Amino acid sequence: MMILVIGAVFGLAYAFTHRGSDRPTTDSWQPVKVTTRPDGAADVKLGTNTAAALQLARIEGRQLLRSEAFIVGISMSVAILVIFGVIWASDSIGSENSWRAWLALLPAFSLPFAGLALVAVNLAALRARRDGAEELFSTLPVAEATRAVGHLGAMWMAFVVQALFVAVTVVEAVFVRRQFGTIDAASVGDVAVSFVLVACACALGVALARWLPHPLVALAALVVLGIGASAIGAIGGKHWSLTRQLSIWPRYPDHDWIFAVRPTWWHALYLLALGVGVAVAAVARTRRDRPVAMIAAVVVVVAVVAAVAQTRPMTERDAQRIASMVADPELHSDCRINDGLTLCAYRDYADIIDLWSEELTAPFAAVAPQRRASGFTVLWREPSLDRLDPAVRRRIDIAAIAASREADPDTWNGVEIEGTEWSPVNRLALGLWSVGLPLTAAADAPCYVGGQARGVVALWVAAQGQSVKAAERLVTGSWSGVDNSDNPYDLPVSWIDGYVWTGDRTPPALWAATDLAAARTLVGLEPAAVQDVLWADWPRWTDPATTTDELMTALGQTAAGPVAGMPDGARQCQ
Amino acid sequence: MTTKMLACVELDQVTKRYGRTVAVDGVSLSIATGITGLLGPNGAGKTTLLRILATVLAPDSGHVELLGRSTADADGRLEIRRRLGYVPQEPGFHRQFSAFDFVDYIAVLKLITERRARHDEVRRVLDLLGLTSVMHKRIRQLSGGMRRRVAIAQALLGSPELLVLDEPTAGLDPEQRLRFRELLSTAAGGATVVLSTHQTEDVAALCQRVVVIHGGVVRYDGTPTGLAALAAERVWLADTRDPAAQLAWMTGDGLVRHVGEPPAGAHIDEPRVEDGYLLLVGASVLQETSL
Repeated sequence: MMILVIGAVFGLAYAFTHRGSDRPTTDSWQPVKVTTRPDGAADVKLGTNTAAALQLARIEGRQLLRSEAFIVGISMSVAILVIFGVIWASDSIGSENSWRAWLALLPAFSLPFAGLALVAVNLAALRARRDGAEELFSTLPVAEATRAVGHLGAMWMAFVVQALFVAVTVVEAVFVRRQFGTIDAASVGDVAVSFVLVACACALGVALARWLPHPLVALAALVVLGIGASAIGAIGGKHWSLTRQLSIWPRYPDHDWIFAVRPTWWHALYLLALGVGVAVAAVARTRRDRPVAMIAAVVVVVAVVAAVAQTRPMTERDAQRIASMVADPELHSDCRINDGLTLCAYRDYADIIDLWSEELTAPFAAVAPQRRASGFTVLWREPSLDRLDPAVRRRIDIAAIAASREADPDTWNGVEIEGTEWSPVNRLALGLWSVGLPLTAAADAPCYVGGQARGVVALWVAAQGQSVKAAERLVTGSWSGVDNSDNPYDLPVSWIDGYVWTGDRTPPALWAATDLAAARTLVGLEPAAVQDVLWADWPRWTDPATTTDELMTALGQTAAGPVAGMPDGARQCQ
Repeated sequence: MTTKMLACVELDQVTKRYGRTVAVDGVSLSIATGITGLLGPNGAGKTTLLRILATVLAPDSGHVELLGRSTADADGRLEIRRRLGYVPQEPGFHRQFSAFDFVDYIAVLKLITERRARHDEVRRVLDLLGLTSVMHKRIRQLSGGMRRRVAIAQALLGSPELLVLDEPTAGLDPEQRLRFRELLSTAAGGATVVLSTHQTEDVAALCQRVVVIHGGVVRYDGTPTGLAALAAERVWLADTRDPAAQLAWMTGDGLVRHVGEPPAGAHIDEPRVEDGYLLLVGASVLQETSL
């Protein structure tokens, strides 16, 4: 579908830019039909400047669709959407799959389009100067300020294209990604912000053309804006800072939006005031009368009010509510219990339970009944406690929360991994639990499960309910099959992606490459046959003393072979 | 009738300088309905004078009144611009636009805002200029002559009462010039037309009045016939070139046509506009060139 959309955009661009060749038309003056104008010249009676501005906006809007910069801009935004939403989208089920997180990215996805819309509008506003038509235009009754308003009005086309982009984003989220959760008012505010950003860009394009009439100025402005917005938007680093709201592109804090009060509508109003201010500046180049001054004054007031409002600390009530959600997630969650598998998520995100259930039901069913009886819980718990709003942090005991989580080995945080958690991580957590291995690294050191049959069983459990190809990928080490000579210890790809690439997380366990090879053999066998062997003596196969070779022999397979020694910094899994 | 006879263009001691150069030097003119040609060599001040008439430039001194309104005040200029059509010497085109879109754009800037009526008007002027079949082609695809016609077409939008045309026939081939004469004499009927040109034939064929300007000063102001009459008894034909003539050139029938003081017994020829113009301006231009 994305390819179709991109194709359609480029097709439109081609159609608009290649209507006929550039070869000059052969000149032949056809016989002139000297027609005197019919009586009643009133059919061309003159209108007002307002009517002219509306007509100019209509024409300039259509011309925008022919602008190479405009086409490139929307193509870049669509490309980014495709990269993030399709190419980099995985089978992941995590907080970034919530509608709130996805829509919060919309303004960022729109930035390339907004930036190049600025350039396109700027070039359009400079067209008369560039083409040498200013002398002719100066003899026409429409004032320069009206022409500026016409160029500003061209943003209607940018809105139309942005609306299509938003629609594509939503459609893509529904049909390609597996979104969950509700769309709250703040998320609708994010959508509004994306439109306001585009409007601001168009206004700035006109203002620059009016005050600094050179095409390179727009490009320079983009660079300055990018640097400035990034600098302000990154205030506070990875910790929450309200000041970054003053940027056109605030950096996102590394915790889920459900634990924040986001003033997106104030931010939209703030940006809108800035945009209108820039538009007023564009008009004021040649028109400085009372109405313009009054609008400018109102804009300043609105901008200041919105700036203050969006940087206010959250209320006591909100802080208390969020602190309670963080400290006692069960109180604020909906749960589904099925044969010992308990899945809980915050009420606004309750539909993630369906996705978790889809992923974890088959692996859980592959666990022997006696182990299932003790129950396994997947719970949504915010992992980035130290990055929460200071007002919330003051109300929680981070150390106590962390300790209580560690003390509960049968509960796994479904969104444990920040940012790009993969559903295989949840599967692997279930696999580890099923054989009694730790779910998180103790003392920041992984335990070594090399040569233990239970490590292979854990991987087999995790891989259940998937295609053979997906299952093999799940149990294939990132280094296996490439150059294994220097890396005798291995992690499944999903662990690498989930832990190592997304932060400074230490994996809970390390496998020997021979164990991963054994696991690949197992997932290629008939699941029922493997299950019969495992369930017949589950305590034995999950005993640390049972070797991988014993398991392979019991299944009638070739022994895994010698195991590499324990890697530095690891300890034996007990 | 009295309204039609009123002067639409009144210039009173109009002067315009560019640094030390005086482009227009105390010009006073009163131009009524009809076609007035402005003749003069390059740098004579024609374009500056037309830009003043088109409200592009303000004079440094003197008074300009067009269509009964002074150009000195903003309201007056706005009213004039509502009733003005202008073809600059070098009209800038939006080359990415089609001819229709460009003229339509100008029509909006002329405050013809009602869409259907505007499109009808755009089609009318393009049809007048014979551009109907190419009106949806981009301007960059059109030949130079066609672009010139597009420039003329936009000036005719709304049937302006005052048309200021700066070398409108530049770039047009002979047939196109003839068509243009036909068009202007018909379509611009009832309007005041001031056009500058280097083509004396156009002036003779089109204009009821001709103004010769040179060095920023009006050298002649009268009818084309009167301009030609300046050369009465001063044009003669001979088999060989007479070195005493101001100007002489071989004609198509093998005779040499002379302008100047004829010798006794010379074969006097009928004078034309160009002869009078050359007598007024040509000699000084030649002298300036030789200097």
